[in-house]
Amino acid sequence: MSMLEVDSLKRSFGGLVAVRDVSFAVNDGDFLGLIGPNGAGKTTLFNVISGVLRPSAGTVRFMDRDISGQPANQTVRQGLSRTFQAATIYPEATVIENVARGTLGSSLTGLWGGFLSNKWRVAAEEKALHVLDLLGLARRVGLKARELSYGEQRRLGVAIALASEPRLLMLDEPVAGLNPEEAAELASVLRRVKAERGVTMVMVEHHMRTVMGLCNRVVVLDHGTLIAQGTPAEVVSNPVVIEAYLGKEAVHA
Amino acid sequence: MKSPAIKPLHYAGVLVAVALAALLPWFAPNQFYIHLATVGCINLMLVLGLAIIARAGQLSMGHGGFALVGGYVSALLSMKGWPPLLTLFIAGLAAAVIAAALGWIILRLRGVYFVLVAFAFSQIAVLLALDMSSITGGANGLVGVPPISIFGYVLRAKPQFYPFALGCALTTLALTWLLYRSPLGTMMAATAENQRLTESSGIDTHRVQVIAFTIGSGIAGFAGALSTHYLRFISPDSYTFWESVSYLTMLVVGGRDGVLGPVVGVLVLTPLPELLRSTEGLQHIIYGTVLVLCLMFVPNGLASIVQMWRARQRVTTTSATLVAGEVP
Repeated sequence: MSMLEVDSLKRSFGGLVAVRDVSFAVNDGDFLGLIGPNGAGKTTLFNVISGVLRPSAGTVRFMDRDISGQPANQTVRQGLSRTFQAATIYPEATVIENVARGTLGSSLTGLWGGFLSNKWRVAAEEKALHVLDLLGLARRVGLKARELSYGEQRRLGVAIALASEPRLLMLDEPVAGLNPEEAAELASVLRRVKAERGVTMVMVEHHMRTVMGLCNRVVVLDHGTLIAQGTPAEVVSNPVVIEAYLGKEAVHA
Repeated sequence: MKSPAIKPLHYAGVLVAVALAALLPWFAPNQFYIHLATVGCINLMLVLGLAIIARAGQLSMGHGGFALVGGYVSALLSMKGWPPLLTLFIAGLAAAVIAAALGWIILRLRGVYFVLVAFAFSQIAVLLALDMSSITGGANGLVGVPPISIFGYVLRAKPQFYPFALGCALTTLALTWLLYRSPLGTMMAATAENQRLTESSGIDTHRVQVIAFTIGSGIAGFAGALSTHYLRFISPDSYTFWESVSYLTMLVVGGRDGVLGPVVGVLVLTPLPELLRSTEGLQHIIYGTVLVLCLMFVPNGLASIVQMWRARQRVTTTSATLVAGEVP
């Protein structure tokens, strides 16, 4: 069953078309890599799917429901969560508070509950502890988020996204800016999350080793157009993809 | 990680402070001190309202405008014979309704635009009060607003009004504290700290900000009405732009985090102009100097001194437990 279906999606900014007629599907249990040279429209595509931007044309279907143009706060409640490129955390809040805030959108108290009882906080922190444990941050719960190392902050970003208990997690360049050890650690954490939580994942990433190591399928964008898709091995040997990355000469060389 | 040793001390401190405030009429040397304390209670409510809006990441420069609306609504209704105890709440509700409608439109504007529109609202409120003289009495204002009476007990003199004002202020304080601890308050803090991330956590941040603006402005309306029934008078000059600025100053000097900041800000800045009155022409200069010094040396407000001390406690206990966990 395909969990996410993107159908002839288009997004333009004035005269500039950033994403042009892109169609692909993400199946339940996939770890899909979304790659392409700089400026290929990967992040724009991400933003359109997760509801940060509205599509200019085309549809996004998630779990058989049309979510195109829905604001981000609603797509999250339906089970589609995302992280951002930079470390997006609440720097002044404690680590546990960061993740507890991530649970609020899906918690049952809603906007007006929880005024007189502390139960919601106990439940939120318990849920948060589980996620932090999964991401190897359980020993950091009492620190402020800004006191963490950059690698830990990136993992905290993933933890916040996971706290809303998504079915589909979209990661925007999760290992960008990390050193090789931190990147490898994050990759193993993601593998563990996938195994234990059964979360389907989509990842925008430049770091090819991470993509090859984690993804079972890869979609390649260039100039806003989908130029190839398949297994990682198929994609890296595809001449169209090599041309997009390295130029025409490289293919003929 | 809460250090258990601090908690009882904390509650005792709150109890002592409340008891001191309640006993003020008995040891105040003269009525002026009671007047000052009453003004402080009303200021505290206004600053708490502003703090709630700031908690969700917005700055309202139109806070005085909502107090003005509340004051006029309550004055006009009570002069028609409605019981002031009821019109106080109607005033708060009226301000809240206007804020909700306005907020829905203008909170889509970010940052400086929101500040400008809120400022414009307070100016329009003042101009309307001046121009609709057949209803509002124009520049003369409304004189002879009825005093508040509770089951026939009329709060006319200062020592009688003060306990009521204190009760209102403490109730607002307690409700604000509860709000900050609730999921809604947590969403507000999250929105202020990182709106994009909060939105991506499934929270409608626009709605959270409108709610904060509505609650905060509603409190301003109630406080404006309370002040009107205390002074028995309201005019367009009662809440001008400069009142909005002074509430903001109290909030910034006291501190924006938590409920302690507004209390400290009001306690320091309400009596300060009176204390400086004896210095004749120098009072504005000294007032300004105090503000600048506060912003330079305690940019997060005077209450942050307490929070810094508490944070140090927290770090020491955290590292202590971590070390204890590591050493077998």
